[in-house]
Amino acid sequence: VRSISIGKRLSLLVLTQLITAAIVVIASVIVLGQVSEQAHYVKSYVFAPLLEIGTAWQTANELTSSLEDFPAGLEPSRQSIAQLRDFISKYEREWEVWGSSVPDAQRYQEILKKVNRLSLLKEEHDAVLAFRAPLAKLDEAVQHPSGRTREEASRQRRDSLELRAALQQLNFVNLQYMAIGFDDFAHVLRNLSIFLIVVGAASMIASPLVGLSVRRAIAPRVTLLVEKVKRFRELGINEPVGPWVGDELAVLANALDVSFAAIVARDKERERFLAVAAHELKTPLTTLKGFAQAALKHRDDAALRDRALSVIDRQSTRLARLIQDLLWTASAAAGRLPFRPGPLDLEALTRRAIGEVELLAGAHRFPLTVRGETHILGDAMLLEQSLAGMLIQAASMMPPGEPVPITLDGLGAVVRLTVEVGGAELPEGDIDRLLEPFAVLSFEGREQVPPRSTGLGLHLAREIVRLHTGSLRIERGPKGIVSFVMEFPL
Amino acid sequence: MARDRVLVIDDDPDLRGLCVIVLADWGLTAIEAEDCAKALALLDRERSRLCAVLLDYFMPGMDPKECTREIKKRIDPGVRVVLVSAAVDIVDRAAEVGLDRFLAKPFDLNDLHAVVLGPG
Repeated sequence: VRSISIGKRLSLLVLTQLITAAIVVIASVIVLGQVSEQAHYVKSYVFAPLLEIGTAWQTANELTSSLEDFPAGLEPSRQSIAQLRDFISKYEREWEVWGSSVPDAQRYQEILKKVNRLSLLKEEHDAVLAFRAPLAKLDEAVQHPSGRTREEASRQRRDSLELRAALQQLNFVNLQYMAIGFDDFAHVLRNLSIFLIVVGAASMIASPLVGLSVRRAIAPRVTLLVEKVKRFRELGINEPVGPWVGDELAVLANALDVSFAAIVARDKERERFLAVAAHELKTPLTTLKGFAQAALKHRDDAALRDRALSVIDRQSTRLARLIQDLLWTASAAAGRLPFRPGPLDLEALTRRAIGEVELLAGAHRFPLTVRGETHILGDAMLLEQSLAGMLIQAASMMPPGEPVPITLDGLGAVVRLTVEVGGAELPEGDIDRLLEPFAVLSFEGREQVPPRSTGLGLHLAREIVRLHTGSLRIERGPKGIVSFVMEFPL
Repeated sequence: MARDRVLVIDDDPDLRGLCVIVLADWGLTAIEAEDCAKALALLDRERSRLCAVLLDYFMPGMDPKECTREIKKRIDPGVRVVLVSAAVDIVDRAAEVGLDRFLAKPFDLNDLHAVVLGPG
């Protein structure tokens, strides 16, 4: 189940709600259709004949009344007979259930069969026949009048009474039809109501169930993630919450794991950096303080005082460089190095950096070879800093007195500055890790002849070159020679 | 024979030079070694006159724990071995290499006197 994505779960929830809503709408349409059809049926097939029977009943009553007195009575009304004839014809054609092929009649036969009242069909048919017989006689009298005698009047009156009795019977049968039809209508209504209730209830149950299943699949893991974030924020503990696969929460959990691991790694790296930085700051301070104390104690010893001052000068210079490099490293890490580019000649800049470094590293020479175009766009102050740092680093890793060859090559698409470092004992494997802060300190010359690097020179140089969209890499060459290679776009 | 020699093992020549001057003031002779390998070579010769060893933690070459073990094998009981380091966690470092004496850089010369010549 966990492999279903949250998006799919939510889509499933929406789909379920859509389906249930659609079912409810369809069911409502069906129910309304059924009710409408049933109402139309009741109106046209149950109530309409009763109305017609009522009208016929009125006509028959008028006919009977007109035939009551003799000799004052009248001949049977042609119009009344015609109306009654039309009524019974219409009734037989449209409403008589007995033997009818009309769909409503057949449906009614089914209803009567269901309630075991088929006997009503016979009663209805008998009533129709009982209506037809006197009507035929009265019709005959109207069609062929033979003069109104007492007997004739009496017979006509008897026929009209039979007509009324048949109508009464037909009315009675139809009233029973109405009762049975209404019961059936009520039954249908009840069934449809139950159907609607069931569909509605199913919808009410299905949607929350699907919603709950989605919640059960998501909420506990969200809680775990929140707890994980809280524990990391408050205690710094990064605990994996997996193994989750396949959905968005798994992706989020993995992203959190990776992010927290990166934060932990960054914090550890920062701690290491601070520890090494503190160590490197405290080391020159030790000799500064110690020689200052010794000089104070031996105020009259000129030789010792001179030596102490020399050490203090050298170590304070190194301390100042280290502090400057630390500040620049912090600025570079924060992306706030002051970058002010302008046109510059890399050859002139390199010569200035060499001059500066030779003051610090008198035992080393830095022969420079230049080829091609060396003008680039860059920040002179930053580049001079990076070049000086790199040259001091190179010298500090080489045996005393060894030359440090530098080549500046502008013949290609880039200006390449190469510094060759020979005789250094460097680590096996990934040599580029020497570009990390302080990583080079362990590989500097054993005899500690000046200059000592700050341990940040290569790292800073790389950051500064990157600002110039250039690159700095370390290459291992033949005979143990290692090269620091800077490249700048022309 | 008087025990008046102190072996100073540190890759910083200025610090070793400082120790030479200061220890001389206290009537002691500093023997310098820039790394552990060179120090071990000196120990056999100086063993009988040695009163203390000042050992830096971060040095090229031998691992400090191994260096301490080898030094202890080559010195007489009672010779003080002091870890002298600028590490921020010097207490942990001393425990790691099995030393109970340490001196954090930058130190006061009186503190150096205490760990080399002080009581116990």
